[in-house]
Amino acid sequence: MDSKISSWNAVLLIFNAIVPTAFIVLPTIIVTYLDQDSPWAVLFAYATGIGMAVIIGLIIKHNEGAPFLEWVSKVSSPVVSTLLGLVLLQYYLDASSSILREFVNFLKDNVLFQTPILVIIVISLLIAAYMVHQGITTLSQVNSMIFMLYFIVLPIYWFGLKNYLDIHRLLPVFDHSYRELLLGSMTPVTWYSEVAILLFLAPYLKNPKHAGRIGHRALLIITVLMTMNLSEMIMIFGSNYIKATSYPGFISLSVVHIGNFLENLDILFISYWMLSIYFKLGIFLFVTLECFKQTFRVKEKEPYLIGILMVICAECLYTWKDPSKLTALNAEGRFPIMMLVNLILPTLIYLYSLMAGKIKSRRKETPS
Amino acid sequence: MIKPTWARGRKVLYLGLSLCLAAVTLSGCWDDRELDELGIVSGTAYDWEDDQWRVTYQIINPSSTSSMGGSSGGSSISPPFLTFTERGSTVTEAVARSNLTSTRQLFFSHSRISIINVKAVDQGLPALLDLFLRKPDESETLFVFLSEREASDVLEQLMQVTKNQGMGIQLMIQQESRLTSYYPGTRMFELTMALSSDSHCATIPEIKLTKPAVMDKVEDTQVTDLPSRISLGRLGVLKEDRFVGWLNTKQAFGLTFLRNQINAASIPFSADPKKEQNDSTFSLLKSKTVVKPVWDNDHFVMQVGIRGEGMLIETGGKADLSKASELARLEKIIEEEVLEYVNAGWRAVQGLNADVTEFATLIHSKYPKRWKQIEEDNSWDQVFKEIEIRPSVSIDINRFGLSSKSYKSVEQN
Repeated sequence: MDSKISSWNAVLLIFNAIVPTAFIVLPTIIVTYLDQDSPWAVLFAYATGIGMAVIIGLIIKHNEGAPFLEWVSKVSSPVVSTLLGLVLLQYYLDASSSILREFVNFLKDNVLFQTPILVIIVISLLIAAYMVHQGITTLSQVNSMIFMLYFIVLPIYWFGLKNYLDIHRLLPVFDHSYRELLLGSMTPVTWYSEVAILLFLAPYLKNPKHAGRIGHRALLIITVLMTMNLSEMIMIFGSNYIKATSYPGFISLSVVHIGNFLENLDILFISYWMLSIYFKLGIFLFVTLECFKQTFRVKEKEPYLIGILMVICAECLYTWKDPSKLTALNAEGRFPIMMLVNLILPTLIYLYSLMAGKIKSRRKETPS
Repeated sequence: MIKPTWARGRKVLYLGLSLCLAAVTLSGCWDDRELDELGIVSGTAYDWEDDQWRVTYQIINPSSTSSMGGSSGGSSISPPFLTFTERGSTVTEAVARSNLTSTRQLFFSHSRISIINVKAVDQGLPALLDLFLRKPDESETLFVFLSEREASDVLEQLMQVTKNQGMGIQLMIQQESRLTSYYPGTRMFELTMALSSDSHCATIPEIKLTKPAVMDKVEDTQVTDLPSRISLGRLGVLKEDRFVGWLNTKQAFGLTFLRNQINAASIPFSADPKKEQNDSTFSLLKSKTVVKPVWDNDHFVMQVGIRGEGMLIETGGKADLSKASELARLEKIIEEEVLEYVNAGWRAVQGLNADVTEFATLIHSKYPKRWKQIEEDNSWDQVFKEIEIRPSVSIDINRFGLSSKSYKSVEQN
């Protein structure tokens, strides 16, 4: 087993498991529903996210950081555990392949126009596989070092855009109905539910009982960053322009310039984003592999890793070939799936284990 | 036991190294672009002719650029840039056709300016903006200009001090905006944003040649005073993708005050109210405009508060600046001047019925319900026509240079 991950490394691991794709996918979807009220959707999602982090934290505290599916097997039955494992495995394979496809689509749209998709996919998967091979602790430590680069990248980004900010574009506040706020918040809530990967990271945490706190801190950092970025994008471009673009985040990056001597910095930001998405992919690949190991109760990872990589590669190539399908999934399809997998099923198992525990203790108390 | 472990480790190492090498090199195989195969575009001109786009590209001439530091040597023979003109039913077709005549693939990422002929605006601005939004190698930060004459004429004109003309024009508009503030430059993304904002209106500065002749031969520039120069002109107003009119410099200056886009400016005025001829200049170094919309019975009133401060840099009349009353008198005159600019700008904009003032955004943010009604009724044009502005200007002369009295007062003492 890998050595343990410190709490802060775990926070940054969750951070990077959510932010890279959220940065490119969320703005257009949220702004479509909420225009200038979009930052409120992120705050609303955060409020919901706290609840999710608490539930995930309670589950991990309850099972004392045991491997999730092993614990499910103990509290219910091996059949339930295997069935749940299969559902989760399908979900994580799907999630990994869609993350990869978003990455590939972006590269094909913006940087590598001629490079065959298969080459990009294979190279990306090899990098992610190498990360997983090094173990989750190494991955989390390097991930934290990469996070530190934000302290260089973000000030340049914010400072380089200061001349274009117009606060009026964020007004009026609360111009949209609660229905629109709910619709706009659904997708960020979906992304925030990925905090559930803690269930599979728990055995590797130094302090599994702090899992709730880890999730909460990660969501707080994400919320601060996303709110600032989204507000900044709206203050620069206004909501109508954001709706018309596929990658508003990157357009705002291309606008960054400091005088005439520091411009065309988008490639710097894109490189950094690529770096962080490799980590996201690595994290999800690790969780997929963990899920596989726990579902089929195997100990070795190498032989299965290759198989998983091939499935992800095939799914990425063929299932998400049509970009509109991926957009529809992000906008509408993810919410029910991710809520079910990340929140509802684990919560049901948790509640069942609590009830079963109570019944057991009551039986013990009752003299036969 | 040690040997097999070592052998396995070495295998993994070699495999890892070869994968890294493959990762680094493979992705470049398909998308590689050699610098000496690229034509770096520094500016583009769009004209509309015979129901077709006529697109002119200005490409940096590398053989000349290498000796751009001085005026001697190869640069005297070879022009600093070359232009290609191609036609096509779409802009992209015109780009594709450039491959029939050019030895280099056009590369747009370093483009500095785009000049659009007024006729081309009316014919196909949405298509052009769509191209900039869609095409990844187009630069959203380039400056856009309007031209009443053929845009290609301006693009072919040589400049003297800055040989890269695209960059030269960029520097001109940035300098104008920073030091004179008649109008700010418009970048491509700002144009798109303005046209997609609540008001659907935008402004673009005019670029022109001062004389009909086009100086496009290197020998033409071997004089101290070019007979025909590139110059910034009026401010073009666009409403919903169509050109609707020009604002002259005075009107544009007033609009810049209204939009709070003044960086620094020189305001000429007459220190003696009896004389019409200006004899003094105030250098405005700081300016802030706050616009507040107020609903007044049946129409909107925009309360415009302008506060500025700066330095008196020239005075031709009699003036003793050590006296507070004299300063207050001059401040009052400058305030009147600024008011005149603002009113002239507002009258022109209202005459064109194009909300380049961005009042729509302000009204939307302060009166969201009323704005929804305006949108439902599609009545913004009518509402805008009825808007009244109530400007108030406060100018503070806080410095007057090295002398406290005008030279004329000293002379008469």
